[in-house]
Amino acid sequence: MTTAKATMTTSGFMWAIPDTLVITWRNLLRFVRLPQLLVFSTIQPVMLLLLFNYVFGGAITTGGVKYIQYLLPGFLVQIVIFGSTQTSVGLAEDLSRGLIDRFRSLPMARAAVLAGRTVADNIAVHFSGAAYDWCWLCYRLQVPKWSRRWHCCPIVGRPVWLHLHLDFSLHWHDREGRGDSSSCWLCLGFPYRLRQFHVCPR
Amino acid sequence: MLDKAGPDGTIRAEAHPAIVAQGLHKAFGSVKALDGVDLVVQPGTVMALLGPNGAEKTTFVRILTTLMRPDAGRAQVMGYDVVRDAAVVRSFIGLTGQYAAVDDNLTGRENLEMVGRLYHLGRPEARLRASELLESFDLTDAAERTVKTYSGGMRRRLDLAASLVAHAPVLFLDEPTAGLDPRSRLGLWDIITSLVKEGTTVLLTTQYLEEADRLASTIAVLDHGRIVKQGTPEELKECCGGNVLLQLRLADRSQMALAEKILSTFGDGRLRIDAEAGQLDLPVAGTTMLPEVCHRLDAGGVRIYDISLRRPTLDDVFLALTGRPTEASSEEVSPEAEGGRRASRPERRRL
Repeated sequence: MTTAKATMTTSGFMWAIPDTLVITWRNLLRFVRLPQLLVFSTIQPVMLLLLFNYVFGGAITTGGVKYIQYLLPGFLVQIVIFGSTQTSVGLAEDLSRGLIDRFRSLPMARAAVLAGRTVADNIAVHFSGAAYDWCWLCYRLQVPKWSRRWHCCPIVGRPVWLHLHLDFSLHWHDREGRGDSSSCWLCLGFPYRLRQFHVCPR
Repeated sequence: MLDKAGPDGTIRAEAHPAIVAQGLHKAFGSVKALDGVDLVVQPGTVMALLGPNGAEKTTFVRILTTLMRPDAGRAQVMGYDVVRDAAVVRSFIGLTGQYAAVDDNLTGRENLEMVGRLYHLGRPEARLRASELLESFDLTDAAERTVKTYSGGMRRRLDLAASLVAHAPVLFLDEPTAGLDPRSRLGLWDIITSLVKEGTTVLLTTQYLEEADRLASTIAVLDHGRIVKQGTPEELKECCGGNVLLQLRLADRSQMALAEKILSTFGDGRLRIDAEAGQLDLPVAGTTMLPEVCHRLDAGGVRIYDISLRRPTLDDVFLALTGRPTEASSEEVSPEAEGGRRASRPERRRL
């Protein structure tokens, strides 16, 4: 009876959304079971924000703009970029543990594996982002026009970063999925960090 | 019990082979992984695929489970082509790979429910099936714990359960008991045996010859990307394992020549001598000559440390067919391997 049912419903576009929801649920549970992932990615930018504003802030010339107004959108971008790293690390892990093979041998919509993870990680990033925005509100900031443009960065930048991260991580991960975040970091994060454009205006 | 219904709802004839592979080729760059593999598995039987490390057993399984496309050749599962009708094939198969492919961060129940949902069972049905499987795999107590806390054997059982969620009529088990302790292995064997009794077809790859001997109705030996031999375990033992082996170990190694002389009057094949261990191995036709051998050795004054008769095991078959030149005895093994390969040709044609 169940066999008949399973065979009736082979993969197709029809199943893309339900399957994506199942995979999203599965990936969100990861954040529930490993809350440190979310806690760390939420606290870290806030701590860096405070560090840069109160410790290094005085030493950086900002050309008339309040330094905190420069920093706030900058770290928002960083949240998004680090969030993408999570996505690639998670996928590399699934790949090395054989989970992707399991999914691929199931009669599910194939796009759901990637879509589900991206949706789940986006939710996580928005959670961190929302917590961060709260800091923003604490400062009761007027957001200057040029800074508003930064807001677009997550939207435009995320797919690009995600793509790059995926590329690197999926090609460079070892069988245990280790070394992935470090290779990502080395190739993408480090030059970005070196440039430091989000903490230091030119 | 299992209805093998097609997507159109028609019941397929039982006589249809569950798995058919014809001339499968697969190359990775210049390395030929599969070099024309032919294999037929009848429904409701267990086919064990044996082969040394790197014999591309996993590649073969990956092609049959639609994870990889063959370069040439055809493969069908339940009468559906694995390339053209991949989506249909996926709804017929369950795969348990070399790694226990379960999500560490989910509980056992959640893992099974997820797989059920992805097989497109309804939510209540997936839940019910998960409970059934947890029960029958003795995981009910651990159902609400995350898989991270499971032991190796429990993970394997859960992995196997996951591939059974949709009552898949064809199961692919790629080294399902690798790294399990003997007790868990026995438990897994019992589960597989009962599945087969219910009509499931199983393709099993394994390194443990005991496992193949116990579970499989047919064994195929894969080496260098080809099936070098196929038959029931008994057939293989008879044709490639050699005869009953008389093993004699001497208490005094200086009597080697004397023992050799006496033994050479018996025997049905070439005497193999391991001078270092003081051991002589002689293939013999039957078991009736043992008292005579003992008597003659005794009369000749040969002091025996140990004497035994050993039936051929699958290990002998395995070594004879895939014998790697790693041991001193390889010169004696390789002609047999050639013979095995030659002998296997007509059989392959019959497929």
